[in-house]
Amino acid sequence: MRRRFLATLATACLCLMTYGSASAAGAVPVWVALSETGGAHAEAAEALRAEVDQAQPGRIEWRVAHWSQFASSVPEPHWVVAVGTAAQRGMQDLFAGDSTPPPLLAILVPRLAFERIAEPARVRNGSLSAVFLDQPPARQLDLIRLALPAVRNVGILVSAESKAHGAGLDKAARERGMRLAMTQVGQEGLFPALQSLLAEVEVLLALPDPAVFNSQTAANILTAAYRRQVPLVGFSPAYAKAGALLALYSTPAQVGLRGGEVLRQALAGRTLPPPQWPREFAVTVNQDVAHSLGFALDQSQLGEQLRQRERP
Amino acid sequence: MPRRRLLAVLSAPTLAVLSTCPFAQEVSEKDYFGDLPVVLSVSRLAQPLDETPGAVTIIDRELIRRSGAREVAEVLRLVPGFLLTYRNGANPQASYHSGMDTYGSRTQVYVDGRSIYSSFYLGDTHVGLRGLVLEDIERIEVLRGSNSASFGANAFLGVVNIVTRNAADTHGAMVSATAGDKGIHDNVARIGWGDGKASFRVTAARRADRGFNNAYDDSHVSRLQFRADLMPTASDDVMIQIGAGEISRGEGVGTAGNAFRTSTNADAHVLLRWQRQLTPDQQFELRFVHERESPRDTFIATAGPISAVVDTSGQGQRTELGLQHSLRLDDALRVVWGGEWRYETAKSKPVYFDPETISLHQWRAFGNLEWRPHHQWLFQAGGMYEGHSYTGGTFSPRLTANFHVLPDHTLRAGVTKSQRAPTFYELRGDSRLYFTTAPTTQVAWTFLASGNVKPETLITNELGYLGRFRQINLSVDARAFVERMNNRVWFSARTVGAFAPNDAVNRPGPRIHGFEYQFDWRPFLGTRLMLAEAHTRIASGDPAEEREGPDRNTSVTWLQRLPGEMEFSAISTATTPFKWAGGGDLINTPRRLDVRLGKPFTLGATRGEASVTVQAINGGYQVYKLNQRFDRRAFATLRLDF
Repeated sequence: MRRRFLATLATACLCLMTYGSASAAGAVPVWVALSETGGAHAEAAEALRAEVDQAQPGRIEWRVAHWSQFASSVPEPHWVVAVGTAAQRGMQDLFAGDSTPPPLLAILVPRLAFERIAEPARVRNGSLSAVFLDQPPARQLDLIRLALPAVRNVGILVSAESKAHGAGLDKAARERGMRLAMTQVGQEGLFPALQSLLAEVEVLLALPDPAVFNSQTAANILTAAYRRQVPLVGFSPAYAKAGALLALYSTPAQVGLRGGEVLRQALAGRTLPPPQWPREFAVTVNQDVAHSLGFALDQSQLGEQLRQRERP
Repeated sequence: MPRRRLLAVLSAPTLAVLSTCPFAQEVSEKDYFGDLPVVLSVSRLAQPLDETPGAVTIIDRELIRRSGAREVAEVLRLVPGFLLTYRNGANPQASYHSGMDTYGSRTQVYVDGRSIYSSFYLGDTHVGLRGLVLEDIERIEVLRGSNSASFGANAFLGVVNIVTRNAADTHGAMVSATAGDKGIHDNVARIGWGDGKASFRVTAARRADRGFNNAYDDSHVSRLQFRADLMPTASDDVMIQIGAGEISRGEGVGTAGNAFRTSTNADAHVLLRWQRQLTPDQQFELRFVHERESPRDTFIATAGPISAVVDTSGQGQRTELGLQHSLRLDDALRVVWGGEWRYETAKSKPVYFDPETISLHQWRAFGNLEWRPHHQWLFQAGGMYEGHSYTGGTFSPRLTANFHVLPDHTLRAGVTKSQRAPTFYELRGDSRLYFTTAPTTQVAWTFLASGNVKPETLITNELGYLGRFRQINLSVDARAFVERMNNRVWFSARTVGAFAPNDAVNRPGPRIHGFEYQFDWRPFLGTRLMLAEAHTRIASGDPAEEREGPDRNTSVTWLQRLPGEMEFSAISTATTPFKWAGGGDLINTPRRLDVRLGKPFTLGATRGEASVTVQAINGGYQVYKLNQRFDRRAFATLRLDF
């Protein structure tokens, strides 16, 4: 609660500061629409702003606020950054009637959520792009390979919502000599699907999907997997804390930083690059779980090895 | 709190609510930033092997299945130091380091926290072990050594901790049928159902065979077992077990004093366990157990014209209530403490010469402190104080130090004192024999307890090494030990009037020392090789006692996956000559080789496995007695999971 309050306070200060500097002559007006005015959204927005301001001080005239505070007005901003899914949808709706809407960069959005609401034509012509919150399939499987070299069978549990992750992960698994087993939660519920999947895999890769992985189901999934000595790889630090062996994720600041880089490059031209994954990421190991399952893992070493793999 | 959260959601902009509220099934960034309860807290996790306060061997479901064993006792021979014998074909028995008892009275056996130790007559775990259904077992954890400080009296020469499968992991139906030589005829049927919050299972099983060729030892085991696992909240686990069964087995050697007969043992139990995660660092456990058993064993002993009924039948009951609280005070300090109350009764006129029920109370208080002053060092100090309504109070302390020389290489040193509590018979036994023709005239007095017997004690010093060589997939566990037993209980005749009944008396016990090791190596994908070996020496003034254990006891296991998804396994065991107590002969156990070939398959949604096992494929061998042989036997099993 206290953290949320502080974050809200920080955002309020941020908003005041931005209005104060709004009169800078010749500055490019950029809206930063937040899904929420605190927490992760504010953190990502701050990282994005810092990245651009550091490279081009005073170039931007920022306006940071909750997305519902923005109204279509003249003059329109040159760029819009939406932080989060709700903000992306709000900003798309706001400029829906506009024949030449300002380019929109959505950050801190899951890929599937972005693709669901994005207008494909705008993505193609470079006026809509994103820095996702997800991790690329290759990175997820590389981490599994590094941490659990003996593992060949990777399992994912999906619903109709998240089964679109299957193709990319399957390809990445095959490229690494691994097999991806995907089980879709059906009418009979999550539990039978989980049990049949756990019987055939050596690691379970959790994917963000509120129909499958949520605070109600986490206890069941983690205990059932642990009983079968199947480690779980989570997508947020909360999973590592709750009992996943590993978590691979990008922090809001890391996503914001990448968003800043994308925006900075885009400022030079007038189009946005295609949607992309965050470049920076973090790996967290739950040492108690690792020790109990008989794994010796070093989270900083794993993170470093994974980064080295991605360096050109 | 829930009400406040709801209001906050409602006051937020409407569109945002639709896309982010927890009831919407569309993914959003909320899924990444939501908090989760700590599910696998330290107290819910199994203690890593390099931090246990003693040497532990774990036999998992896969190894149990591929061993081809039909009995838990047969599985235990894979554990270094465990000896397997068959008093006859209906009485398999495994014991640790010494063949000093053939009923398992010096080994504690827990099944999901319920002790199956019967103190009714001579102290017994071997009958209880026979009643377990292997298909329901998740894993067997064997503590090699003694640990009364954690497990109480009778955790003396080995502690066998059997964990059965969670009902949540056995949804669906399973049937299995086994048939083979020596009348082997086993069936298991199981059905499991439920959801994420509550799961249930019912298992019905029977196991029958005709034992050895030249012995009266047919056996028939039947069992009905129910287990429920409930997770009403993320921090509560409730387990309920109800079971009942009967074991009938051939006994006797066909002599006038030990006639052939069929003895039976019927038993039933209820187990309730509630575990609550109070905080991520604290767990509370409440356990209730009630068990009852009715052994039946009666025959007519003759000596010339004289005959008398020998009867050791009766009823026993045990009720236990236990509490345990574990907490992590900080990263360096963990505490487990608790208490237990146990009430046991026995009723048998012929065994206790008392038409009434006799009873005893035991209560226990225990504590264990785990202190990690440095990441390489772990010290554990524990102790249990036990009060016993006959023998008074005893204290069993334990101290161990684990030193992680390197992350995968651990040295362990420990000293512990353990107890075996005298059984009802040793405390209160009174067996008088009467003429069958004149039932009021006493013909013999076989046993009269003076009640002066004290608990047996065992002081163990040990040094251990646990190593893991990840590059070559090898793990090594070695243990050197000195076990000094004192107050060993013997039966010794004394004069009472015209009779000379036995009494339970204490004598100094043997000093067992030696070393044991296990290697577990997976050199290639699909290949697993295991070696378990113990070298022991028994020192005692009594040459007969010194021959109660072998100098060397070896088991070698090879598990291999073959092309076509076939699975092959071979297990070879052997010991140097020794003599089992209770009438065993001095015999050498030559190598016994068991092999198994299995083929898992799928038929639509049905998974199955067909297997053939040949025990003692290298020919039969003498077991327990010179004139008793375990002959080669083959059996086939078909198992289907729906």
